[in-house]
Amino acid sequence: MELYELTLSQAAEKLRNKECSSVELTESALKRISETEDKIGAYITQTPELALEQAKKVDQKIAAGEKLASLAGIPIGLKDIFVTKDIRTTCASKILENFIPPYDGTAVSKLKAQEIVLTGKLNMDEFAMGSSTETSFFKQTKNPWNLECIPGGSSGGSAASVAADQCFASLGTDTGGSIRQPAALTGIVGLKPTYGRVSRYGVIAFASSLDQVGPMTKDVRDSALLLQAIAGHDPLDSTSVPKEVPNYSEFLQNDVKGLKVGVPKEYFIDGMDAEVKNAVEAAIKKYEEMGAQIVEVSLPHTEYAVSTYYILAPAEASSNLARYDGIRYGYRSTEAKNLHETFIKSRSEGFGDEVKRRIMLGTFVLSAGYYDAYYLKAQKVRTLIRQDFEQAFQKADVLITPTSPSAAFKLGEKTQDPVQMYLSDIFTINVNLAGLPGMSLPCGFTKSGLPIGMQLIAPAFEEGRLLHAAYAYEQATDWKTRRPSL
Amino acid sequence: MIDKKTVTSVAKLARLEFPEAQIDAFTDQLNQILGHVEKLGELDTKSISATSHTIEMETPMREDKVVESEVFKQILDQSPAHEDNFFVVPKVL
Repeated sequence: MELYELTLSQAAEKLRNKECSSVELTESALKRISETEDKIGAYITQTPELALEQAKKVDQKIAAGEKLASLAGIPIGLKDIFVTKDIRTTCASKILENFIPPYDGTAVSKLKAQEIVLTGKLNMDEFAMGSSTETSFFKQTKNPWNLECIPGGSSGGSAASVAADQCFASLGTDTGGSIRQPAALTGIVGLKPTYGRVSRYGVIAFASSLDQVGPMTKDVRDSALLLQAIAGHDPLDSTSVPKEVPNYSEFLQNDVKGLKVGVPKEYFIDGMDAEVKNAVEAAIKKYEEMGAQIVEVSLPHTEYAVSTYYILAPAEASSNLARYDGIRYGYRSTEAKNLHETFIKSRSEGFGDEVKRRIMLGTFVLSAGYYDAYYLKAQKVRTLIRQDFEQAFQKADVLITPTSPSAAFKLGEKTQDPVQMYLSDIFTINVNLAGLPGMSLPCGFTKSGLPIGMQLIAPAFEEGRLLHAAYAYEQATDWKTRRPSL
Repeated sequence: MIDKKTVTSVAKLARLEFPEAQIDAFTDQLNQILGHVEKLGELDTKSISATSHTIEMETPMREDKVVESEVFKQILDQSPAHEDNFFVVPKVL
């Protein structure tokens, strides 16, 4: 067995027991990257020299008998939306092609404080706008299970890299499903924490009332470990919540007797992919066999979620992306003759089509005469969606749904049809609108061998409950033992 | 439904410009998306309050203190054009 096949927690244990060094773990991950990256295309920027330097430092500390943090010396990748000091950060956009940040974001600082090893910056949809990683300015990332398929998005590089064993874990961000959907499509575990649980400081903003940072890992234990490292209040993010962080590993229990698992009937709709439906229904049955209590719940406003999201998210994005003006950083057009043209030409040449489409949509719904009909209306429907969940959680401890309506689709299949692409987030968007924690984990495979994911949803700040329910299911099944052959 | 003229004026507001053919494509696509979101009109929301933020909290306050930036030069270095301590832009007047 190669070292790169280990999970994050297994690698950390081997390192603690001195069965391997951090340099060995790092060399193994780097070897895997060089063997598979041509096929997968997960990285925008690789940082092998830095990785080896960081690994050596950790090994020296181990040799000196110093006590190390739980993630010390483990190779981890970051979505290229995380601002990293002195390392190019592009957000997969031409407009930030040469941007070298002068600081680290909080999640990155926390991982650095744990002395992780950075493998590099991972590909994504431009400004996290997409569900397939096809809107990246730089490259197309492929699904490790089938190279003709997309890895999901927007954190597609983060998902593909973990699924292909190029790194032991990665961080992604999730605004409408961007951690959970690619996790489902690549057969890994992805957790979007409660809004406010993890600091957004130094995460390039897309839709600020929805964006959240979370772990993408090979199994549920790793998810708990990585969440532990990044969760907590941060004075540098005014929306981060000053609430104590529990010890997440304590929630990794097998016993789910009496746990009330809610099944929202609106998530099992006619016309949805039969293989996905069957796999999630089998998982529900499994919970029942394990002693959980299955209850039917209703989230009646589910069908309005995509519409609500595609007003609110572009509105916030159009405002956030106003900062890219070609003046202080980022791309500046050389064609402009005056200041006004500098703004227009820099933005028009620097942004890709999907980003422009969302800026246009957002500017439109916020413009005079349309604000009440679109933006305010959507904010009100958001309240209804939140209330649906509050009512459901009076009957259930966690909810179970499919993560994505289908397994990974083919490259190019939906790029010409924005509405079809937006509908691939139909089961994940609600969770962001309500600010809740949600998690995707593997629950089966299609006949053609593509992974299927299920989603668990819990009340705000109950990530522990998600980890508990997910861990128990994972231990009772063997999906995680299947790996893509590359 | 929005027309080409509206799309052109929204582009102006967003500081974006498009070749003629793309304006047509965008008008179609935006109408498709807006057609989809019309669905919200089915709901009566007269007595519903708006949610702008899911977690209830107060605005955190801090002391307004002047501190020296340690990365002043790196920040300037990221700009497409700068001189002394200033960003350089094309002539405004």
